Amino acid sequence: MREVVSLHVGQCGNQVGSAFWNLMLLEHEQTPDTDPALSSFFHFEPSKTSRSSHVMKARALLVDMECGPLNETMRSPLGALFDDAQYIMDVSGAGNNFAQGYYFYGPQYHERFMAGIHNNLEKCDSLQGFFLTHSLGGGTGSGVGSYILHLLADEFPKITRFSTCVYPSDDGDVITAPYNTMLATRELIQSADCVFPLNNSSLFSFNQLENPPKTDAANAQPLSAMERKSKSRGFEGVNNIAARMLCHLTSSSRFHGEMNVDINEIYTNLVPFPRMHFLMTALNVRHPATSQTQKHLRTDHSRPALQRAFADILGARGQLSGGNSIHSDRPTTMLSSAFLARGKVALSDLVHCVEGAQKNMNFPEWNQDACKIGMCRTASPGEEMGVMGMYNSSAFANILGRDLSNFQRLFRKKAMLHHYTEYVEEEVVREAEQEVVELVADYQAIENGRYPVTEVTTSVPADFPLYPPF
Amino acid sequence: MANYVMVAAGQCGNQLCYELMNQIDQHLAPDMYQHSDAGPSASSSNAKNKKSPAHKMPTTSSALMTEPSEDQQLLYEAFFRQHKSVQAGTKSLARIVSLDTEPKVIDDCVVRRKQAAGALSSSSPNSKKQKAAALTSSAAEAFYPPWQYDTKSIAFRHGGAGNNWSLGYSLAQGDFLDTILNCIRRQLELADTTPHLVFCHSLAGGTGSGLGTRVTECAVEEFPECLTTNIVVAPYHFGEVVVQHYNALLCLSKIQACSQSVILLENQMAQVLCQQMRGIERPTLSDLNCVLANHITPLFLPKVTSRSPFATIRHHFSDDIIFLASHPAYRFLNIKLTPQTSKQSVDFTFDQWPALFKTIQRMQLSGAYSERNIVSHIKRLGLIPGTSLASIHEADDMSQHTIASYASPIGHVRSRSGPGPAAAAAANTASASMAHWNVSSPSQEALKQGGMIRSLASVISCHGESASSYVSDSFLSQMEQQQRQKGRLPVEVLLYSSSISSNTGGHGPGHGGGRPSLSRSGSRHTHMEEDYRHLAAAAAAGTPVSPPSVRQSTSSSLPTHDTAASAATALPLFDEYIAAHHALVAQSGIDTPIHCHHSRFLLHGYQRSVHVMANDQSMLPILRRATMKSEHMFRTGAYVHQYAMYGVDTADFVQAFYDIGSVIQNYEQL
Repeated sequence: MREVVSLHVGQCGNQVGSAFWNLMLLEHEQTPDTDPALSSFFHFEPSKTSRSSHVMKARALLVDMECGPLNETMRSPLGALFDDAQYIMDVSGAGNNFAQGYYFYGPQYHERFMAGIHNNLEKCDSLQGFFLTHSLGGGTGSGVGSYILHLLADEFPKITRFSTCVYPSDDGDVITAPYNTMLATRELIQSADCVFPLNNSSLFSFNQLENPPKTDAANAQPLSAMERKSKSRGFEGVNNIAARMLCHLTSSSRFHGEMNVDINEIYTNLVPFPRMHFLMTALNVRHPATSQTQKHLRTDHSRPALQRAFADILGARGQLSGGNSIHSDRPTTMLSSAFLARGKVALSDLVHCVEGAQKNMNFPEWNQDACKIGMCRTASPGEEMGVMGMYNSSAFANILGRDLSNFQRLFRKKAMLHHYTEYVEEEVVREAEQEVVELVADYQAIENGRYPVTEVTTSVPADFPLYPPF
Repeated sequence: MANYVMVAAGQCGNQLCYELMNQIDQHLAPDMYQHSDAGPSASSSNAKNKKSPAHKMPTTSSALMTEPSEDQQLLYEAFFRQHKSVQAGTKSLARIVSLDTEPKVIDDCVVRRKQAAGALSSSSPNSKKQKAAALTSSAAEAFYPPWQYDTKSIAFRHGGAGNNWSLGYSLAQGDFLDTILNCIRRQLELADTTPHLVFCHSLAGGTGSGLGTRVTECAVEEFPECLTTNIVVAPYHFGEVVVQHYNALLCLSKIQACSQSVILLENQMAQVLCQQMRGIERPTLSDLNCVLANHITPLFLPKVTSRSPFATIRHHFSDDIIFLASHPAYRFLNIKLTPQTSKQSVDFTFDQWPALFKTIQRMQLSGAYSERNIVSHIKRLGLIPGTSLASIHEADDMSQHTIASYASPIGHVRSRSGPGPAAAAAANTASASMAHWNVSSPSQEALKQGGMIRSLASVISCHGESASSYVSDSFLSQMEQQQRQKGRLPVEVLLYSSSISSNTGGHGPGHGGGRPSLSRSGSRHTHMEEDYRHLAAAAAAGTPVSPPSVRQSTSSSLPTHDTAASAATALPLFDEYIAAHHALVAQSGIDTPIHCHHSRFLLHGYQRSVHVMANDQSMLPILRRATMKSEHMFRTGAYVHQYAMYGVDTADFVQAFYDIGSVIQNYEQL
């Protein structure tokens, strides 16, 4: 069975990770142990202590440079999923500094990373991909995460590397975040195969839609200011959304369906040019079950429900990557898109909705039907059906451009730079900036109908007829 | 008769093959029930989830079943192998080789089949107890046990092909390829007679297109004595897979080079048929597969030809393939079927043979795949001056005519009856029309949109009661009469390539005019090929071709295009086709490009139905779409790096473009 090894790095990565594994267990609650669907993320080991002969373990590696989050996972019921060998931690933390994570902790832990990865690989028959979850704002997630990504690209160039990274929101609490983001983005451009950028503020507003803060007086619990703050800023719901996105992404390769989508198909379909592999994602908003008005939408095979879900993922509501990938302030060009449906969805309904969606999108003239569709029979727990959209769109230039200008504001003044020059030359930061600037330019050029130079464009002249005229 | 070994690759191939086998099973096996009682055990019809109404045939039809049972058994065993063992009793195992790069879909099919079979066999003891009288029924069931997958003929691996043709293509090597070929070899050895290999796969995905292609190539090489047919399913127009056009292009270019015949089907067609004809508003994938299988099933049913002086000669799929795809440059077949009314309204529909024939002719002429689409197709045809259906009838009244007159946008009817000079004039008009093609793009576009469909050859089969009497009495005799009287084919029947219609009556005029131009078109081909070889070599070497030199070579090739076009009446290699055709004609004693068969099967429960398999132009839109859309994408170089990862480089793409472009050109010049 095609296996996936997940690597969770840093506090954010590990929190998303535990939400992910919780959801994964929930999704596989009904799956019998012998079902191959389990084997892509789990494996069974002979038990040493417990009553049952085998225990289920996750194919994962948990990395953090401080011990808090990992200890939390270890103590939680989820801890039983992981062996001691699957935890790699330090005590001091990377100090919100990419350079410290990448250049200091990276080499220091190199052997242990390799051992941890190999330990996982030994239990795989046919490894299909690595899933990396991390944030880009802090030090560990961006620095150590990038280091591991680099390591994977060096050691396993044939295995697809997916990175799910959380971009910091503008009102982030880490002042060095722009530096970390730039340096990590550069590594993502060079070493990852597919990147699913998530944005903290998008995730928060998505969460608000799904779990609106209770305002009515009857239910109002007296909350202290502190509690309210922690509740509104609570990462739990946000992490669950990120986890849901990941589960949805892999659902079709785990469960049966009418149109299966393996995770390597995502790379084939959505990445037309090697460097442009940033896929913005959108999920349908799950409406609270109690709402009476939505009842009629919750019937089986209902086209209105699917249309509503499509409205979410095409509109601003369902976007997870910060900024609307379809309609932004200027017209965006869609390089490629994918729609993955889960649950009870009829093919013709999906076709109908996708055809409608295509009318709203602005595809390049050389690929007017750049859509991949997938269908999975098993819905996510707690909903009848769901749809996920993935877009490789020029709107990413806006998102990255925003981070780039934040960075340039600091870098022009060389503010905070000394934290980085402690570990690395200033030239490296400059190179990273250059790399990102090029990518942003590439994405922007698409809107004007210009595309990266490839082997074909250099070797096949534009006026050379490819076939006899017909 | 030949045995058929199905090779299903990928998700689509396996699902389609499953449905196809079910339908073949329903058509061939339950005939046995009919002799016993009209209502066979209700439990079994429930258990087989989609029993066709063939099951509920009126008892009167049993009078038609005069075939001896050994014969029926032979028919059945062409698709299902009777496996007798002491422990499990008799099992019928389908002659399917299932291939995939992930186990899920095959698992699904096998489990579903097992459940269906299990439900059947568990219900049979009950029915035995309850209806001891219906002994014949249970005996029939023992004779034809529900079919199952042969678990030794399943080969899969893990990991999927990622929608990437080159990955799917490169996966079939080493051990996996050996396993696959062993599975096929095993099925071939288990066959009683020389088998016919039928490959079932899609064009869009990675496994179906890539693995399917590779396995076809290897099987053709390994088992050269087998006939091969590829049944391929083209994806939705709007795109199921982003790289579907690349996959389709690469797959088709390889398959048309190695397989005997390629039958093209479309998902889009199936959906339209479901929604318009079947009354299924929101079809699911299994509905689509059902419609596709409906189209394929009649191919495999044995038919009787009535043209022979010796009362009945059986015709099988293999014979049809030999007849239709007898030339290497023309290998694409397509299928049309009428009526397509929904199952519920079958009882209220009474189609008469003439009406059905009219419909299928119009469908074939217009290239429409649904009866209801014809009108819009004709409307589109009407946009082109001189190519409306009405003009055909007008033309029919004229003394002589050729197809080019319909094809040419100018739309004049030219005469071919006269010798020498008239033929030269014909060549002139043809060149004028060809020049017109090259110059004015709008009319060319219009032609591409909906020209009249021209065919090389086709097989019409009528299924149902009294099919034989109609076919032998009225239809063919009419055709024959007309042909004898006027020395040509009736045009209402079908629009055939001018060369054939002029040549079927012997060595017609204009034939001699074809020869010199043939050599010229041949030279153009080599010229083009040189260009491509040059480009391919440059691409392989990684050195960019300097634009000026290429422009020079293209400009030098352009005039040759023109000269070739001016002599366009001759088709590349067409003489060979004619020769082959004549050989065939001499052999079979049939001197028309149409074969007409009939069978007593109530196809899908319809009282009367007509089915056509034709080697004609109606698949051109699919090929054009794949070629042009991939060209657009290829020019920007998008996605090419993914194919390069698994060894398909720019030169391979260029070759594929050239191959398919040539196929399109050949068909267009019919």
